[in-house]
Amino acid sequence: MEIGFYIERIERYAQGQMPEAERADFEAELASNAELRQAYDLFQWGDAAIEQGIEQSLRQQLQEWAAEGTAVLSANPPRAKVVEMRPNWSRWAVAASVILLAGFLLFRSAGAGYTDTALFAANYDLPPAATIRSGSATENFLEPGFKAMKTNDFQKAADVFQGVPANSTRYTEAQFYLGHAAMQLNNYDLAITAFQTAAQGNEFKFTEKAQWNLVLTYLAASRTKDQNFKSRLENIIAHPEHSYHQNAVALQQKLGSVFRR
Amino acid sequence: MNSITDIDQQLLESIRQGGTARQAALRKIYDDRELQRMVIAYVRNHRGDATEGQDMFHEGIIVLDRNIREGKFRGEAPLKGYLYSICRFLWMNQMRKLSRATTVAEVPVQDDTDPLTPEIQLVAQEQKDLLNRLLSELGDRCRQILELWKLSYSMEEIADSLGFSSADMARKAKYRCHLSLLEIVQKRKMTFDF
Repeated sequence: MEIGFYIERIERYAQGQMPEAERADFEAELASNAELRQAYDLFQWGDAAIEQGIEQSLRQQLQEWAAEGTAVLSANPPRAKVVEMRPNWSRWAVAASVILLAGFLLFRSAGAGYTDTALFAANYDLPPAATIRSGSATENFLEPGFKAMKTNDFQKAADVFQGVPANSTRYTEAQFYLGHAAMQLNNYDLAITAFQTAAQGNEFKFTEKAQWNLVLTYLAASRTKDQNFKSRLENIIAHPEHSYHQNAVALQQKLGSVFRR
Repeated sequence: MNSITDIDQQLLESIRQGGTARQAALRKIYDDRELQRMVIAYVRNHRGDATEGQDMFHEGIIVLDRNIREGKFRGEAPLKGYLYSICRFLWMNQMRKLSRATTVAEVPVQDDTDPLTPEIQLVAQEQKDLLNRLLSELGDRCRQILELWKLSYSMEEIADSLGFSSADMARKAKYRCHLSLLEIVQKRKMTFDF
């Protein structure tokens, strides 16, 4: 398809620059011309990407404005009033005891955030309902599984996704969501197998997510000593371009933390 | 409820207009220290800290900007109240994600009867990641051109800003960049539910 052929018209339509009659003609053509529809779909994709860029630029601008405000404060630090205190050794001893006790309690509570369960909870996200593709059952045989996921009927969802044959074009996708359903059922062996399959599939959209969720499955199952867990985590860390590279680095740091029990 | 003020109306128009007027309007909104303090106080009262409060204020402005440009907010309520409502909603959602609420009862309930209930499209992170990849393939220069174009900067302004010799050259560059972006999308063969 020659996108350039359509881009100018689509742009005028999207920006409301067409007179009424031309707009009606365009919409009629959109309904009957598959190539135009495809070009329009690509245009909407591109529009979403540009909006994403605008968002990032604005975020950066806001941070710069915030930094200006901080710089002004630093240049004019508020003056503190100096107060002299007489030493009191008994008070020092009590203060030291309180600090030691507080430190001990803090150490214990901080450690709670470094257990396998806590690390898993901090990193795992069940795919939100809004991103689960839907449609009519006739055109999307995964639909019953998606509906089941949305209503937290994970056993039913798992059954649907497991029923998708390996030669189906949506097999990789089914395996990906099977992994999530199995995770919710605490069936970690099934989740591991499913995510492994999805990671090796040919749908790029799911590859890196499946790789990361595979790591998280080992974590949820408290199998962090397993060589497969270590090699999978290290593989993501070894690839800075991986979508979950930073997550993996952060996870590895926490796994090696002194707070780990 | 208080009706929208003239100042609010001017800010709305400026953001809708785009270009440098939008930039100035956003700066004016950002400089509302009282509102920023209110947002930070809300976040701190709901298991957050000052840094997170400032983040929510920033994210709220980002959502406000987009909602105005897309016509989702047309001045039905005072701007300040609407922005505050957005920030509260964003923090509620953040609390849920971070599991800061230890019981369901602790998650503040969004009042659906509240006319200031903002329309916020929470784009899933995976979608954002996909869009970011498209942008990184496109390159910074094309990205800048397309952003300025989308924000209704004139071709003269784009030429001045990015060093083109004329508005016509800027226009041609914009066309080439747009085509490149669409070809990248086509190449990726992504599917996306709108």
